[in-house]
Order: sequence, then structure tokens, then C-alpha cells
Amino acid sequence: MTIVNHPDWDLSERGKKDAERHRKKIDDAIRKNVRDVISEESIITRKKGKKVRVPVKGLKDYRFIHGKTKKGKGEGDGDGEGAGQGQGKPGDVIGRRAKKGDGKGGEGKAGDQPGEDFLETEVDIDYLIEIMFEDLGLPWIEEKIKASTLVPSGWKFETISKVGILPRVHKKRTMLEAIKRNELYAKEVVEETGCDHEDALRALVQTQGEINGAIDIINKNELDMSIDPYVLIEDDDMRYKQIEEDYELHSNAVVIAMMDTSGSMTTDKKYLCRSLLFWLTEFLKKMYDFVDIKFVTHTTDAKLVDEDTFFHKGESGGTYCWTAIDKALYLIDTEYPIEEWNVYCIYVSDGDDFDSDKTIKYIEELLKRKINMFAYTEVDPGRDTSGTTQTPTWGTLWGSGNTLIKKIKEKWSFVCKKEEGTEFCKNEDKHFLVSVITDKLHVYPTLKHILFKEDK
Amino acid sequence: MDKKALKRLIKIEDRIQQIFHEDLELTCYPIEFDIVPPQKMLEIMAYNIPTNISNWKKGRDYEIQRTRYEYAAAGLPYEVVINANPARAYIMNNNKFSVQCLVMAHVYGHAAFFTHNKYFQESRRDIVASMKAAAERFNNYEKRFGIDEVEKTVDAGHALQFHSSPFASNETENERRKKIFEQEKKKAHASGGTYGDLTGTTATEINEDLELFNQKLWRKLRLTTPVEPTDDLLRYIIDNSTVLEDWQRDILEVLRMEGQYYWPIIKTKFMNEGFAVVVHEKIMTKLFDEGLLTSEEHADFNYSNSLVKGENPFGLNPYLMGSMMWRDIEDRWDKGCHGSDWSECRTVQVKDKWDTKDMKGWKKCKEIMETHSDWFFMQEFLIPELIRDMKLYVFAAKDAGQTIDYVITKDTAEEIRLKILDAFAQNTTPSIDVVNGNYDEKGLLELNHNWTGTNLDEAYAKETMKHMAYLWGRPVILNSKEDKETTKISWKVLPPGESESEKPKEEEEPTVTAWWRGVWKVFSPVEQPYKCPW
Repeated sequence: MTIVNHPDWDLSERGKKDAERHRKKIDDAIRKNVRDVISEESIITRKKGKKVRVPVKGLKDYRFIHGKTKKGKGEGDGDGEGAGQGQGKPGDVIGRRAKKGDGKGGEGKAGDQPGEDFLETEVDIDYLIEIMFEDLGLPWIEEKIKASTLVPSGWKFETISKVGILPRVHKKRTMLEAIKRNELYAKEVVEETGCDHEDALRALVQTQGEINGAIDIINKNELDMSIDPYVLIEDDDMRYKQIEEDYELHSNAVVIAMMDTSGSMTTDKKYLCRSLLFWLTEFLKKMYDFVDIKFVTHTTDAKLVDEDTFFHKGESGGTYCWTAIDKALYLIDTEYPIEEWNVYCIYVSDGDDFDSDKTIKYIEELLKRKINMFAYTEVDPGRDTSGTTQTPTWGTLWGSGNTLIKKIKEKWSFVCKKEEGTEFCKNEDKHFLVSVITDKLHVYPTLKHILFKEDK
Repeated sequence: MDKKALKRLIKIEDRIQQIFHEDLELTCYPIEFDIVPPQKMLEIMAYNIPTNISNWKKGRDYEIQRTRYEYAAAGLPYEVVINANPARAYIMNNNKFSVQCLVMAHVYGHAAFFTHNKYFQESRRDIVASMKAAAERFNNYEKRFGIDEVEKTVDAGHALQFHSSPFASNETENERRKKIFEQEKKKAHASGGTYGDLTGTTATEINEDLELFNQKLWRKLRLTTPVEPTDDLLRYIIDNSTVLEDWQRDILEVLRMEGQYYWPIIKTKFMNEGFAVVVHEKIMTKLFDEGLLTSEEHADFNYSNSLVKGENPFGLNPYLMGSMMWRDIEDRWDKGCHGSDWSECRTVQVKDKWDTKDMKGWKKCKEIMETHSDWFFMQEFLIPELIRDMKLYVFAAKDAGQTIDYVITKDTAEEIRLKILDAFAQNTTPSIDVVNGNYDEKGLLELNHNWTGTNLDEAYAKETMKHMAYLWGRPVILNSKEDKETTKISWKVLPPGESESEKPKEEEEPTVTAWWRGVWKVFSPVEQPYKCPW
């Protein structure tokens, strides 16, 4: 029987190659489940910088296996029974674990705790954004002549100075300086002594760059003819590159995110709004350093709030949608003049407006300013998915019954397409986008609807 | 491993072999030892067979193993044995010297078991070479038909590969049909021939009747597929699917063969590991007695050996439980503690001192090693006395307000025994039969789950059926039961890309946690193909 030593067998790459394939499958699975992932409630309330756990379906070894047995009465909660080995008598606790879903808070949410047929994988939120919003971006962005923002884009070498450190020597410039100086010296020597140019250089090398010495040597005929006439580099010739921060000029852009927080906005609706705007802002923050984001909430009066308040606080009261538009107009007039800024307005509401005629007028005013985009998204979890007929929600009874979207559609003309159970409308001339979200799963297509890069 | 150590190891291996043959009176196929670096070891562990086909699951397992090794420096076995002729053993090169000896002795134990146990007699002993050839073919398929297509077929094959035992026959359906026809015919002819004269019918009449009977029988048999329910799912699909290409059939054949290779390993895990532990302990004791290893190395050996035989509070350690059972058998047959005299003896004092000086223990062990599988082994030799010695118990999860507590519920020998036997009987692959390959005359595949006390995991079953539907090209139907009282349930899964007017309902998510899954895995003798975790 034989024993063979194989110290060289660690070169095998098979496992790594197949592991790569597995990772690719996980990526694909995440891509496929983007709609589910994006509508996960836990992500929005999550602390910054944390990784999110994403359930990945279909990456397990499926085969016929026995499931849980139905338990008789009084035999635990039925989720664990088995035989073990060690010290102990009946009644002893051998192990403990936290109950599922503890510390989550909030109402019982389905799908929050994935069961056994899911493989969970931990994903960086930035990575999620990356794969979810591939090829997406702010549309209709324009070069504004005035006032652009300087955006740092790494480092560059531009200026050259006489001081610096050796690793950053600019060889070409240094050499150039040295040649220049040498030629000058050689000329001097030639003029003084009348020797030829090469000899002058030789003499300079022999005296290590001293002109007077060189002239002396030639005059005294002590020139060493074996020396190659090369260029001497002196400290004075050294040139160094200077490292500097690099900036790019970008057109200014501001996104004004507006949300209805009035009483008619139920928890469901608010969640949909926040989900949409959360992903939007996360995406913008990651992709565009130069984008300002302003948050506006409104009931019967609009307020400029910070991000945290915007995403985590609730309010109630009546609804005047025009107040939000008014606030946006005010912002454009005061802080973000349209000549200098690309302005994107995104407004999310449930469409229950006390004075929709006035709102229409304000929207008209806003569109007149030639802002880059106005996106209006109406959330209505109760609505018929076709978007045509309306089931009577309590909002209808309480409010005007006429949702904003209806009026908007009467006023402007849109190119509409029905996709994924909901409707997306676009008015290219006015840069006006309208969409309806009736379900969690619509969040992702709506984002795609709002953030698209034009084909140029 | 340096040259000096290698030389010493070769010398000791000679001695191990001698002890194995002469003292333990065991034989086995020749063994080839390969000493490999950890990197390769991780790969062998993930692939089970070093030349196994490439697949994302292997990659996943590899990554899991590597993470464990790199971050916890744990989970790496000191050896892997491949059941082949010659047997191949892979040993990690950074084991301590005494551990290398232990591992070699252990490998001998496994090799003896592989060679003699009856469940391994049908195993293919050229598994390494045939998997290597298969891997090359699969590579070509990937190039020709696309990696995604090949992957779909391989995944489906993996899902079904444990439904073929090595004893499954390889005859085609037509052969089977003819055989059954002959049998049925014989039965009918026998009754006709014997009692024909009593009823007053003439021989020609009988013959005419029989001719009619034969025709009817053949017509009936011709239309039934399968002729009789078969549990060899892959075989049936390979032979009868109308959508499979030849290369897909090849893939499925290979995976079926791989499943057949694992099958006996899964069925004999506790016996096999226990036996190998007993063999290595016997051999190592001898080596230390002879002074071939130093006392320092003895300490290393003891430490490793105790790790191997650690108690698991949430499951059963096959190394510990198996070896204790073998030791018990040897001890009892040495002392003659068996048979009706002994078991019916009710006087504790007499029973304690029972010793007939039979000294037939090791011989008995060798006999059992040849004939038993885990379930029979437990059935026969897990006696109440031993259960008490092993400190076994049954535990259950209890809701304790903030936490879930795992509480010991039973420790009486009989109940534990029942529980363990139950687990060994049920935690194997569920028994699923193909009962009809032309269900509803529309070519649907009808399966039947032979319900024996535990129901199927619905989510898993449906995903598996999706794989089957992909191979079959038509919907697959599975009949099972909820539990003893309720009537039968039936699931239908359509092949990918097809849809019915009514959408299938959302699956309910099972709530078993990852934590518990780990426990279940240790307890269940099925899931893992054969691996030494040390």
C-alpha cells in the first residue's frame, strides 16, 4: 500500500471557480427578487451603513424530505425535538435561543422572517443600490452656464515646483532644465576659449559643472578626452510634480422631494411614499455627489424638513397639495434659480386634495418655470390594479372624491403604458411624469420610471 | 511533511497493516494514501469525490468549508476516504504525526467496512475514474449547450439522485413488462390447468380461454406505465421522458450512479464510523504498547480522540455512539451476555457478574459488520443498559416567554430507544413511487408518497417537483397525506414556462430556524454523504 505526498496540490482552482458560479447565482437571485427586497420594511428603518439581509430564493438543494411531524398535545411548540447525549435529567434546560421576531417592534408583518426555503445572504446596501439601479440616472439634465458645482474627483498632478520629494520627480522636466543649463554653460565656455562644443561639455563634466574650472582646464590643455560628454544634473534642475485635489465641474442639481403627510395618508400609504423616496434619495446620494436634496412635507401647510424627520415622523390634518408646490416654487425662486440649477421635483401623495383646482394651477405655474422634471406619484393601496375604476376607499368619502391624478390627466396629455399591474404616464414636452403605486411591488418599476437615462 | 517524517510514517503504516491483518483478522482492498495540503482537502470535502463534476453547489460548499477553516480553523477533517478499489484516502499534511497514524488506522477501519458490508457490494469501485470521465463530458456539454441548460439538468438530477438504491435493477420497462406478463400468465395457466378437469371444460376450451386471457392481459400491461410502481425515480424519467436529449440522459445516469454510491454510506453512517473508531483505537493501543510512538505523541492522540468522541447535547455523535455500541457488543459476546438466558435473567447480581468466557466478541463484531445497516444495528443492539450508559435523552423545545428553551423531556430507556429508532426509520429519504406515467391519459406523471408517519415538507416537495416537471416536460402530481387521520392531499406542479388558468397559491413558509436546522442535521443520519469531520 502506498503513501504519496502531494505538497503541490494546493494549486487547484476548481473550488474557487465553482464558488464564483455560486456567487453569480446569488447575484442573479437578488436581481430577480429586487422587487421584494426593495419593499422590505426593515431596510428603511435600519441604521446607516449596516448590511441588509436579503432572502434569496431557490439556492438550496431541494429534494424530497420529511417535514415537521404533527405533535400531540403539550409537546412543546412543535419546532424542535430530538435526542441528545450528556448529563441531565428531565426538566433540565440544555439550550436557549431568542424567540424569532423579537425586538423588531411594530405590527406583525408577513414575510419579515423568511422560513426554511430561503437562503439569506448579507448584502451591502450600496451594492444593492448598484445592482438595482444599473443604467438608471437623472433624466433631462442640462448644462447650466452659470454657477456650477466643483465636485472632487480624485487627485491629479498639474503644477510643477522646485521642491518636493524624490518619488514625485518629473523626469522629463528635470532633464530639460539640466540640458538647458548645460548648453548655456557650454556656450559660455566655447565663447571664452574657442574650443568646440563637445570639448566644452567634457570639460564641464570633468569639473563637475564649474565654468571657471572648465575654462581653466581647456586653457591649460588638461582635458581628459576619455570622458563622454553627458549632461550634468544639479539640484537646481530638479523639478517635482505637485499633487492636488482634482475637481470636475458639474451642473448644479436639486431634487425637491415632496410628500403628503395628511390624515388621509394611512400607514400603508405613508410606507409606500417613504419607500419610494428612501430609495430615490439613497440612490441619488450614491450616484451624484453634486445633488442637493430638499425634503418638503405638507398637510394644510408645507414645511421644509430634514431627512430624518421626513422619513420617520408622521402627522395628520387636512390636505392642500398646492402648498407643497408653492414651497417648491418658493425654493426655486429663492435658493435654486432655474438659470443656475437643474431642478427635479418629485411629489408623492394619495391624491385626496381639498382644492385640486388650485393645485393644478400651481403645477401649471411650476411647469412654466421649465424645471427639468416634475414627477407626480399617487399611492393608493386600495385601488383596483388596472387603475381605471376606483373602489370606494374611506378617503373618497372623506375627501373630495376626485383624486388629483384624474384632474392632471384631464389637463395635460400623456403617453401612458401599463406595466406590472400599474400605469406609467409621461409627457415629454413638459417633462412631466405621472404614476400610480397600488402595491409594494410597484415601488421598483416606479423608481425605474422616474430615474431613466435618455437615449442620446 | 518532511522526508524523515514521511519515512517514519511509511514504516508505521506497514505495522498498522500487519496489526490490521494479523491481530484484528480483517481484510480490505488495497489503500492508496495521498497526503494533501489544506487547500486541496477543502476541495475534496466540498466535492465528496475529488474528481466530481463542477457545480455551483460544490462551489458553495467549498466556500463554506474555506470560511470555516480560515476563520475558525475548524471543520476540516483530517482525512477523507473514497470507497473504491483500491480505496483512496486523503490525509491533510499539517496533521500532527500521531494524528496521521490515528487517521491511517481509522482509514483501515473504513476500508474493511467498505469491503465487507453487504450494502457496499453493489457499489461501483471505479467511482473516481468514472466521475472524472463524466466531469470531462459535462464540461463539453456546457460548452455545447450552455452552462445554464446543463445546470438545470444537474440540479434536477441532484434533487432526485437519492431515490435510487444500488440494488435497483437496470432492466428496461419492456423487459419488466414481459417478465410480469410471464408471471401473471403462469399464475392463470396454473389455476386453469389444475382445476380445469373438475369444471368439465375441455383442454381446447381452456386453451382458448387462456389465449383470450393472455391477449387481455398483454393489452392491459401494454398501456400501463410503469408496469408496477417504481421508486427509482431517475431511472423511470430517463427511460420514459419524451423531452430529454441524449446528453441530458447521460447527465442523469451519472448523477443516479453518484446517488447509488452515497446510498450505502448514508445507510451505515453510525456503524461505519463507530467501527473505524474501534479499529483505530485498537491499533493505536498496540502501537503505543510496542513503543513505536512516544508518550508525547500519546497525549496528542488522546486529545484528538477525545475531540472525535465528543458528546453532542443536541444530537447524536456517530463516532461516540457507534463506537460505544461496538464496544458493548464485543464485551457482551466476550462474556456470553446474550441469548434468552441472559436477557430473561432478572437478578441484577447474577447479571452483573455474568461471564462465560466465550471470547467471541470480535468475531461477532465482524459478522455484524458484514450484514447490518444502521437501522438494524440500532434495532438489535441499542439495549436499555447501553442507553443508560451513554446518557442519552430526548429533548424538546418549550416556549419560555422571552426565549425558546430546549428542555430534556424523557430519559427512560424504552422511550429513548423508540425515539431513536423512529428517527433512523424516518429520517431517510422519503419513499416516493411513480405510480402512473400517463395520468389522465395526458402523460402527466403521478407520484405517490408512501406515508409512514411523517409528512413531506411541502415547500421542498414542490421545488423538487418543479425539477421533475422540467425533466418530464409535463405536469407532475404528488399524492401524500397530512397525517394519519386526514384524507390524502395532492399537489400539482407545472413544468417551467407553463401556466394554468388558476394560479397556484403562495406557499406557506416553514418556520424552522437556521439554528434548529443545524441540530436536525446532526441528528438525522441522512443528509450528509459520508465524511469524517475530523
